Amino acid sequence: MESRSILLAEDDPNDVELMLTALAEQDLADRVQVVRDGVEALDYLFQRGKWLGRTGGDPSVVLLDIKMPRIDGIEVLRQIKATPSLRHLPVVMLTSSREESDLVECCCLGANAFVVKPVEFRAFKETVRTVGVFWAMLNESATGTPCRSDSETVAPCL
Amino acid sequence: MSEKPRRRLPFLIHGIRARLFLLIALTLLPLLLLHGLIQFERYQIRKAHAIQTELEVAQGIAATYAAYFNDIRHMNGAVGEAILTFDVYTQEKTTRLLTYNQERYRSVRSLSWATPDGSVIASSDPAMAGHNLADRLYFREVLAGRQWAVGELTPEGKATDTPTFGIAVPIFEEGTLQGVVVAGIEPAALDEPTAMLRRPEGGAFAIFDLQGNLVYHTREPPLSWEERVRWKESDPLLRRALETGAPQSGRVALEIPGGEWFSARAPISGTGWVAGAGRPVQSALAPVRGRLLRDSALAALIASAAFVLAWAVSRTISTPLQDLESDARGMGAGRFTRRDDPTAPLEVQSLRKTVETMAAGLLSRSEELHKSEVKYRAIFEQAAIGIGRVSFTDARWIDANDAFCRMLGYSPEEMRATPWPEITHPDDLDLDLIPFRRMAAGELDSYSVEKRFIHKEGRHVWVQLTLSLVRDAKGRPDYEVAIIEDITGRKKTEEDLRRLTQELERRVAERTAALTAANRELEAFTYTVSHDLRAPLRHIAGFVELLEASSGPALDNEGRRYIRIVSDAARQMSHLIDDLLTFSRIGRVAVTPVPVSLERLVQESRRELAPESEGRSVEWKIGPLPHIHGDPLLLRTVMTNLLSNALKYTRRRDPAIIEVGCREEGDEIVCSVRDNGAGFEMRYADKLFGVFQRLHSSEEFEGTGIGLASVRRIIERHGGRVWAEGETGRGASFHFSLPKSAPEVSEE
Repeated sequence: MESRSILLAEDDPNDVELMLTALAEQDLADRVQVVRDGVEALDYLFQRGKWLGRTGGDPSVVLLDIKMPRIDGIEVLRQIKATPSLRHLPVVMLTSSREESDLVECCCLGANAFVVKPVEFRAFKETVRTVGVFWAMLNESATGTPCRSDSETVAPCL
Repeated sequence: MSEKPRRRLPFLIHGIRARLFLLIALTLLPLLLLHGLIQFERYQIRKAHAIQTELEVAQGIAATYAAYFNDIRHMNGAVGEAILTFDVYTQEKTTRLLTYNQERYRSVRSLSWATPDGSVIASSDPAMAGHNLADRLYFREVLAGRQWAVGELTPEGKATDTPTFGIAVPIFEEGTLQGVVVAGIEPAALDEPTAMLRRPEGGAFAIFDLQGNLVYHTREPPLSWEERVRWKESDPLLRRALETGAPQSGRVALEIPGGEWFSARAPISGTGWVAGAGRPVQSALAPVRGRLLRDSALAALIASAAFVLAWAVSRTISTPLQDLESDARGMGAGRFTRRDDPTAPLEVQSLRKTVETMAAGLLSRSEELHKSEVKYRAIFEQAAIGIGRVSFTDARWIDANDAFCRMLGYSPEEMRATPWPEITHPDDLDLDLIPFRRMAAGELDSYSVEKRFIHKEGRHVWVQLTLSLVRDAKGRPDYEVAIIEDITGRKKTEEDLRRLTQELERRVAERTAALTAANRELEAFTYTVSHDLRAPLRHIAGFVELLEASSGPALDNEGRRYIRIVSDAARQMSHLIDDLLTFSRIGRVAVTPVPVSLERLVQESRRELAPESEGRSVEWKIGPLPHIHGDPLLLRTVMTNLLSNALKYTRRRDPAIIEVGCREEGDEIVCSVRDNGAGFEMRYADKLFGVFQRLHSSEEFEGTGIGLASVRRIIERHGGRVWAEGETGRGASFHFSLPKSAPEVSEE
């Protein structure tokens, strides 16, 4: 079974490192494709710019930090959900805080989960594990099955 | 109240006295009429009686003279027969016989013996001798065959120049006329047969020949021939008697002898003559007239007496009435008099009592009215507020008090001459005129307007005008009462206030705009804080953990403790940031109250807090919990905070006892969370709900000091209260109240 990539859009290198560390514990790190902002994320998804002619097809899950330079995560989410060929992609929104307006907007736009990054690394790892396993491994071909999680930092969009 | 006015009887006089007199007169009238009738009857009877008497007298007279003339006739016949018996006719013997017989009757002036050709051959009167009597009527009649004849009166006789007449009797012997005996009668001596007859005073009788000429009259002096002839012209009775030969009677006015007479005319049988009797009306009716006079005088006396009596009686009625009238007039003028008038008629006495009672009532009422009038007049005149009355007919002021006149600068006279629209600001005219017209039509009983009058000096006077309709006794609009309050000052104040308010509103708007901007900045700030502070913090925590994982075993104890401190501090800071964000969000989000099951809230909170009670012995005592009104998310925050606190401060109790209960208190529902934890000192109770206020050290019980502040903020936004009770070492209880009904949501 060919493992599809996990697209991580995150501008903060520290967060990228922590995320990768957490994903490494699930043996998912080598599947992660990191982009630094929304523009790159969209280029990757639409296979254009520096990603023109890339292989590997669509990622199994897209992790989007909300706050990014140039094009933020919400805009990327909107474009994904506005594109028929990408609309089925599971999208997990990452944010530092549970800001009401972000959460509502993301759910409205069709995000599959909304993750508040915990301060404690242990909790963060647990979250990543949940999300990663759920979307990247268990739901390899997920087409928008709603996310359900017991973790307090993962808010499913119902 | 209205009564059909009695029709005036025009013929009825109006004074009581006059009416009383009229009454008496009306009572006496039938008597007087009866009296008149009796007198008239009496007169008629008397008249008929008098006429009857005259008729009888006339018939008697007629019979008397008929007999008298018959006597003379027989005497004539006897004389004639005697002459024929003479063996030898001698002049001397015949004359002696004639004279002897002539003297038997005083009225026979001459007795003559005439030949059938009329020549007098012998006479008691020598002067007669030689006269021829053939031209006389009586002579012709006897020649014509009558047995005897009474001739007509002639103006003069054959041997005399006084009127005379004759009675002739023819003397036959063996059917051949031998001669005629003629008695010449002296009319003046015709009283002979009636000398004994006495007529009552003024009574008279007369004899008329067959021509109607007067032959003899008892009373008249010798009349001229002309008068004798003319008598019949004014005597219709005589003429009728001559024509009909029947007796006549009646009342006549005679030219001769003059005057009114009750008269009768009766034919003297066998002669064609007429006897008459008469009596002057005057004398015949004298006794009747005398009695009429006497009776009338008596009637007049009785009537006068009655009138005098009536006058006296009327005085006993009219005098008390006049007294009463004058008293009543006095009472009308305000002088009350009470008087007893025992002689007055009962009705008048009762009237007087009624009038007095009425007057007393009226006087006392008028006194009250007067007092009231004085009082209200004083109020009207001295009121500090303007008062006036307005006529509906011309919109003029009927009166206006001093305060109102001063308000507009006019004298009362000028005020009364001015219709109110003329002194009203044109812009405010309709405001008042429209309801004024409705009130004049009776559709509106009162209204009130604020408007501007124009002062005599031209400036505007703002007034508060209150108008009330006054109706007349029949309920029609009469006039309106106006209460006028000068509100120029108030208007100015209002204007100032309005300007101030506008100014204030402008400033508030500015301030609000500034605040809104600040709020927006704050929101942006908290967003930044949440994002930007949490990221480095997360990195610190993350990398410290990685450091510990990778280098922990290489570090000494001290080094590992440092790492743990950094890790704890980062976690603490993370909680602080989370709580601060929550707290600030409470102020920003909208509260949407819906019915919420408190029981479910508690369950959810407990589930959320399950990790904190893990491994501990916690005894939950959850009472029956009602539905409340509120925002579910925020109320869950409240419940979570309170239960979290309870768990936290009972950490050292075994078992920990946590009670949750609710009760109704008036309009509120009071919920309590009670624990048997560390408690607190009551004197610090008011500090519990302040931000960052803590009663325990972080070492003892960790915390940010924001939880209870959030609780208070949420409950207060729901319109409720929070308070706490506690005792150090023996637990604490936290209470919050919520209004039973949906609270008025306050925006912060």
